[in-house]
Amino acid sequence: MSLSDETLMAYVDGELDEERRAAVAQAVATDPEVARRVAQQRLLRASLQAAFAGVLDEPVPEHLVRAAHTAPAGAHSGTVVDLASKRAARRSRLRRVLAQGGAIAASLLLGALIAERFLGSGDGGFFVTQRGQLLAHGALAHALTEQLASSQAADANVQIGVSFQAHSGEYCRTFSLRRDPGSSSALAGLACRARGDWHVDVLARSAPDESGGYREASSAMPSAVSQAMDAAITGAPLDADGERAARDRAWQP
Amino acid sequence: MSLSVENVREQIVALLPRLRRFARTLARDPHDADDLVQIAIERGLAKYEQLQDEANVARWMFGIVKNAWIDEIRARARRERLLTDEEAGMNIADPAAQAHVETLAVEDALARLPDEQRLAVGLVLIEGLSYKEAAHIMEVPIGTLTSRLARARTALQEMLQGSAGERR
Repeated sequence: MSLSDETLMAYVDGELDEERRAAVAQAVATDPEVARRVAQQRLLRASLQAAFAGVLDEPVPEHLVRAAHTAPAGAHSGTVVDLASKRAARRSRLRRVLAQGGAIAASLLLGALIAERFLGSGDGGFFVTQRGQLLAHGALAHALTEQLASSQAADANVQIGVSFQAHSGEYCRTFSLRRDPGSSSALAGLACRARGDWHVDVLARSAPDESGGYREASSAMPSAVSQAMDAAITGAPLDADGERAARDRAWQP
Repeated sequence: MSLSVENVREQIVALLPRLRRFARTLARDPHDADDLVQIAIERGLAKYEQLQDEANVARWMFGIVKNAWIDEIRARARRERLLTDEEAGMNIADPAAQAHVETLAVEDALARLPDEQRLAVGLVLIEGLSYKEAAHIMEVPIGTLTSRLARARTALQEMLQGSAGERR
């Protein structure tokens, strides 16, 4: 009797009915070649399981447990937009770099929640989500592309802070948004230019200073944003000439 | 009658180690894998009402992880490639990596399989699901599943024998 590879695989996987299982077991006992082929299949299965067994012993990250306990449930959870924005913040490259910082994660979550207030206002919004990625939109996208920190109007709604090149070669810029209508807080973030869009990798609330006004974007930068910048930056921030030159190249690395 | 949301949440918590392992077989980078699990948790809970009383939460959640992965993989394909060097560097820099050459060889080989084959391997050979369960999750006939498994195994054998030969 010749046994196909698929039959031997099904044997190793415990998928044969009793009659066929017994037939293969008989062949294994009497035919060294069949025994060798079965041993090879068992070894492969064991190697695969061994390679991933360690994952089961790892502590489950707290944020996953929390998500299982608290993520909105049911058809009326109505969370499509802010799920997408949370996902965008979480899944960005910078977020990956920052995965260790619990405080930063909290800021990001907060940022995503604030961002919700800026979302959904049609063309006037500062953000859109696309395939789970938060992108700058409208006036924010325009400012990120065109506005120079060295020459921006002090009362512009979008203030550009620091521009720099990331390890990946992409250009990134910190920004702050003047006013969240109906709230005294402002929003600050970091966006990086990739594939023709500004990917918003970090968003956080920035507090107004004591006088009720807003400090310079760079000095008011929330720690989540400055830490993200520190993690991503290569070399020094761009100076005024560097910023202008990068803009004139349309932020192409 | 559907399951209570509290019941579903508890079952998902209990499944987290396995969901993480399954996600790790799909997206090799651990952070990507955990992101996948989180997306699946959110999606699963948002539509938990679709779970009927006969439902198997494990099978259902594996299916959502699979779908999330397929949804993301195209959009992320380019970024994954950009990240490859960085990730490889991290693995090499890890002093513990030396002790896990075999594990890395298996992960490398698995990562090189076509996606649908890797999915079959993850569900059957690593998670230990039956052909029937795995085919259900993958939404393919059992014959399709077994032929993918067979091709995956042949490819893995060749790759792993190759890497063992190089190390000698």
